[in-house]
Amino acid sequence: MEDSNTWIAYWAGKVKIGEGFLMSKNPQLQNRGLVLTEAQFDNLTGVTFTRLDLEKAGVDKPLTQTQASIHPVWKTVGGSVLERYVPVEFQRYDLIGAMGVYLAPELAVPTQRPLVLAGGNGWSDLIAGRNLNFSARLVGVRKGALEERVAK
Amino acid sequence: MKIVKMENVTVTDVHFAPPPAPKYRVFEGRRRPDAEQEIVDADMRLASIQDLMQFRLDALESGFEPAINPGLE
Repeated sequence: MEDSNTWIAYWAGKVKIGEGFLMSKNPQLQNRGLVLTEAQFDNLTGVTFTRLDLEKAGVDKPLTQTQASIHPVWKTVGGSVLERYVPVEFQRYDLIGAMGVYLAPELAVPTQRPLVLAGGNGWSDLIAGRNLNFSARLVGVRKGALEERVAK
Repeated sequence: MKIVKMENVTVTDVHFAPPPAPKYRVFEGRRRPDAEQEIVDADMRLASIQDLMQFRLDALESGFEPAINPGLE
């Protein structure tokens, strides 16, 4: 089970990434993703890409070192660390392809999932399609939880 | 970084030179492996992906296999 407070949300050809997860009241899952309303998706504060642009940058397969170093999702989550991280990862594991960015499919409703630093055989990938309550959890604050706790 | 306070455990952040060495946490007093693991788990859950990447980078550049190994779930 992997925990993350970095999330990724999908809707209408858009992919939004941010940190700081806030659980809505009466949450529902669909295909192991957290269902959002369109308004909730729009109100999420994060960086937005089109899925088409991410597909052009490379998704759902290992990336080359050049692709990884300029990939918009890696740049978003890695920030200033990425420039040194990419060559070290590739050289340590003597890789041609690694650091893939694996997206979840878009559903008929907006959905939100954890974005997890994961992978296999040592190197790291970004997995954006982890199944909630099965292989990953979103960690954060549930709206109203503090008030409920104080009231007890 | 979140500081978790637990009975009989004092947590101190210490930087070992030269930077950018990883940040270690020193536990003073009698060892409490259960408390230490709980603190590490709490930090891991709330760490940003950039923080986790920095941790892996520090380990790899130091010649160690990172404790945060994404191949081990």
